Amino acid sequence: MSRATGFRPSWKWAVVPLALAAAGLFSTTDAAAEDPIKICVIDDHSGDFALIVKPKTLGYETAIAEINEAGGVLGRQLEMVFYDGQSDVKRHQELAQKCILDDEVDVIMAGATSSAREAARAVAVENEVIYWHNNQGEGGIADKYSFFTGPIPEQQILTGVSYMIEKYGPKMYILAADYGFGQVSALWTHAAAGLYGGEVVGEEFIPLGNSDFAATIANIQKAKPDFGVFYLVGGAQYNYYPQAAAAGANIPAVSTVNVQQGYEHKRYPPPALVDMYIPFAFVEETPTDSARAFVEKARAINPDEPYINQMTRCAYVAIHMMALAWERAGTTETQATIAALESGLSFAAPEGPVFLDPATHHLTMDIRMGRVNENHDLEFVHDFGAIEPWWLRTLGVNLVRTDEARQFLPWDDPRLAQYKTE
Amino acid sequence: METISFIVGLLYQYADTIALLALSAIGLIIIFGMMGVINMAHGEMMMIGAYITSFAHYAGIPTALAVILGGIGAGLAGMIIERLVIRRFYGQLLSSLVATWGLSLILSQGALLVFGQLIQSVPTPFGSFTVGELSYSYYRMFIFLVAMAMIAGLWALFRFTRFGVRARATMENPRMARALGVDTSRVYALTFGLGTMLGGFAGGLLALTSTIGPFYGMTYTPQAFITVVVGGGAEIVTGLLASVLSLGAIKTIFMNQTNILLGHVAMLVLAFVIIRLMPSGISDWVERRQVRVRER
Repeated sequence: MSRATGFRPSWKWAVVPLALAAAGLFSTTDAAAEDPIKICVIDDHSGDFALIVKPKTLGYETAIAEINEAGGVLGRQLEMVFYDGQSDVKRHQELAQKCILDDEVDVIMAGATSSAREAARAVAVENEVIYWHNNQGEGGIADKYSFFTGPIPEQQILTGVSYMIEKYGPKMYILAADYGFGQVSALWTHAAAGLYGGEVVGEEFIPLGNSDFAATIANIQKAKPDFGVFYLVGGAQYNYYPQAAAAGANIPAVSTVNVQQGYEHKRYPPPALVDMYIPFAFVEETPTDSARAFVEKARAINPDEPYINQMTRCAYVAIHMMALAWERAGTTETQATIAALESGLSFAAPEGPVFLDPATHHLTMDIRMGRVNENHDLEFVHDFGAIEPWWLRTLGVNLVRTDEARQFLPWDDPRLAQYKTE
Repeated sequence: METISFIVGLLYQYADTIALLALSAIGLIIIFGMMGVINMAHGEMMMIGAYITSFAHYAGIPTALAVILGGIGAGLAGMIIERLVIRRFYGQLLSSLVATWGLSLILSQGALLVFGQLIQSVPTPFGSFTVGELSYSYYRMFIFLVAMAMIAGLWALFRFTRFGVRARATMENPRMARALGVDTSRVYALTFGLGTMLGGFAGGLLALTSTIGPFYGMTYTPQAFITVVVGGGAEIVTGLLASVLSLGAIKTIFMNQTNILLGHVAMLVLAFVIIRLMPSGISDWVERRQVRVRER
């Protein structure tokens, strides 16, 4: 009796395809490991916004260097594909297209002003690429592909205005850059005035690039406000401060953009900025150990950067959030990455812990109030604690369930619309 | 009291607007009037003046001297540029526009690369005064007076000096002037140097009340350009004065009564109307009428 000598399946044979598959798997991973993960960055390194936006690029560089040194993400290195947006809206749109079509990037981080942001963001969303906006903004955007690291009106304007009313009195004068961000921020200021018993005694919209403020200074003096609420944007508009100081017309003021981005307190000799109050997430002087360590780390990468501003911190946080999401998703595929971003990520930001709210794609973050003193140093006068991006949620926005693909304005909220003037 | 303070406020703003327009345009109009060249890099000459002023101030040099150094530095830079570039574009308005625009980009981006996004602002001297409920800057009134003095000085220079006579001759008819022994190329070089020097000086003066960065000049270039085109190149001082007084008046009134945006718009509309009626500017129109009167 001889046994059949034909082929007999055995568990040992199963090893062969498994081994082959494993080899295949490893070889593809090896190939992928040579491909870096591409991050498209469009920042203004020339033109009117270069001054405030250049430190943002340093934030990306700092985070990318840190992550690459620790071995990268999913075994791959991060690579920044950088373009100069030249403070030009149309260029942001073209460059975003170039990033997607030519460079085939995995994520786009672009645009400082609301107009540049919308130009780049529209391209990203249309092509279903994840987009991050990394500085403070007028808020309200609810979109599946868009994420935000900067403070928004419920974190800066409501807190800042209520603090100023309590400290100086109810009458305020609004000075805002005449474009999307300035206009929406002014609406929020009206809402804040209504909510906290304030009164807007004057309001002026300044064209971008305007540098002559004689008429404005006179108007403010005539209106006799208790404090100013300033949303001045770009190099030319900063001229308000030395001109008001020269005319002896400084008033206490609160701003969501000045100092924390443009470090005017370091650029102008006192007393131009004295009694400027800023509700912020991060400034170079932020009084935490982790903030000091962050400033040191960024300076090590570029010792010539005059000021590590809020944009540096926002850019740094955005890269780390993406790294966390890619690791959690196990891939850079867009939908899986968005699901990971919406899974409740938190990160130790320089100023304190931040949490990426799945429902709104904005951050919960610590907000502090700073005051520019007589020597143009920043003092910390109040700690608002961690503030959630609550406003969109109260309108029923939940991006995990429904993509809204739109921007909400304060007047879309009946609680705020009742304070609408005109 | 209410009306007095209103009138003072309006006059202050008028003087302030005139000063800004005149200071930004004065160097440009000389070059345009004399050489038929529009120097798009004029704003960068102002930027050079402002940079030198700031560096000199923080090197411990008295502020007044620092501003003068700014003017001299820009003047020297201008003469070098004239020798290297402008010389090839005399009387060619369009080519000179493109060439100097390129120069403007090179200079501003170069400043960005070399000095970074900003340099330290210089504190504004003199303090402030109060009329009624409004307070004003002494310095802004001071620069108005300086601007007026510069226009007067320019008039005297062209009227009473040998250089002025030669310059006017060259402007009127360069070939004839050459035939009569005027070294026109030297006149051109000096005029360009003078224009850029005044630009640098104006840049230094304005630097004391504003942010200084590589794109400093670009905030002044458009209004300087409009002022020059409205004024025209036929008679420099008349053109400049007529232009700043009219544009300044409309801008001030609209800014004061409405807002900044409408102020700019009103100024541009007026400029448009003037250029439509007098295509070569106010001074050219005035000159032609004078000629017509004489011919009668």
